[in-house]
Amino acid sequence: MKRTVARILRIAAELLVIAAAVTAVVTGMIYAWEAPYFDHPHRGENAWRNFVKASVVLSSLGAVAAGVLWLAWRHRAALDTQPDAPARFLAVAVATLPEVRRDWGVAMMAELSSITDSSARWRFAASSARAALFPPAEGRRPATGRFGAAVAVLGVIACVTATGYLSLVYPGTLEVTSALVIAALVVFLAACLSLALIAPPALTSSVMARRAGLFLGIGSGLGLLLFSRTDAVEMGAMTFIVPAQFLIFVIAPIIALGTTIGTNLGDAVSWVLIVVPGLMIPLGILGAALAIVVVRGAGQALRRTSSDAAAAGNAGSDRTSGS
Amino acid sequence: MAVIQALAEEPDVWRYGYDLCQQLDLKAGSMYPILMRLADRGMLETTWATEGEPGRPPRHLYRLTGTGLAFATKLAAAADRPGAAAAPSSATSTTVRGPRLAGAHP
Repeated sequence: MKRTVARILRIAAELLVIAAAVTAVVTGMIYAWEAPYFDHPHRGENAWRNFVKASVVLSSLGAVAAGVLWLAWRHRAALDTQPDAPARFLAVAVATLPEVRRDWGVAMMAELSSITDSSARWRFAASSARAALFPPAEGRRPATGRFGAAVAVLGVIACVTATGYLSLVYPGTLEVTSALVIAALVVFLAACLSLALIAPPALTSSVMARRAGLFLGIGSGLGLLLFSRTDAVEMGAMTFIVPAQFLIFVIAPIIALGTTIGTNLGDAVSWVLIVVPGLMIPLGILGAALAIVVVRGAGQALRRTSSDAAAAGNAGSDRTSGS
Repeated sequence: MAVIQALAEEPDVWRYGYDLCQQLDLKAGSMYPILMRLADRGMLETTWATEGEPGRPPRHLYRLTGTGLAFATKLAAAADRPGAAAAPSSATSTTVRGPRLAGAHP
């Protein structure tokens, strides 16, 4: 009974920490997004309201998704059967190993069980965790595969090009975005690119996870394209941030859980996290850019047509009144 | 290379990973990737201990295969070659890893 209560309390504490971390990250990102509008004379009130609403909704979704993912991960790592903190630490890392390396993870855990000194156990667990997270690659190909690497590189180049184009053609699109958001975007892009090119090789062995990641990446890219053609025009190229949060914090863990059956959880999560941003960001930004160009162009053409018609009408009435 | 030499000292004896770490003063984070690579290249044989302490999982054991032992022999021969000891360690490492080694010992 005592053991069960202690277990529940430990899981609750872990979930609390995860929820707090997710809330801090999500709220920080939304704050950075909304901050430029807070002092706006007309939009200030709405900006605060949007900030609170988006923070509550996305933080809750993200916290729930991360919590579910952590429960699946700790089940896979059999955390409740581990004797102490070093063993739990190593078990979490070993759970990321793919099928072909699974025996090595079991071997590391078994070696740890033979070490009795506490500090030696920590040293061995920490060092072995590094080997479990970054085991040697089996081939020389990019960890994402050649197709994934090419898509990621082209996508990021397209993203940077489209953003640069937008900032030149429509300076107002980006000027409302804070420097913090732009810096975060740059870091995010660099991280996506590095993940796509030099992802931990241990996390790329599952064909099923690869397919899931590709499917989700393409689907999310198309979704963002549609999204950008509806209400994203006003927000500009940065509009992908909110759906990106939704995809990363909500859909990715769900897909990861789905692909856990018969494959490696680490594979699924990493592939979703690698492929989704790799495809989603460039497609999302390109979609937003296209939508802005098309809608604004159509709007200008419409205005020109109506003003021409009005001018023609005025001219006609002037002629009529003049005669 | 030190791992291969350590395993070649008693080629018939199965060794534990942690014991190898202690013998060579290597961290597990360095030792296990080396062992994985050796196993990938068919130089290392692995098995699970059948006898262990009760309540503890069986440990993984390692020893060199015939290929690994042959490589260790070539490695030792290359190290014994005149002038090999005076060569920089990086050059020695390159020599023993590359195909030049096989050519040097027909």
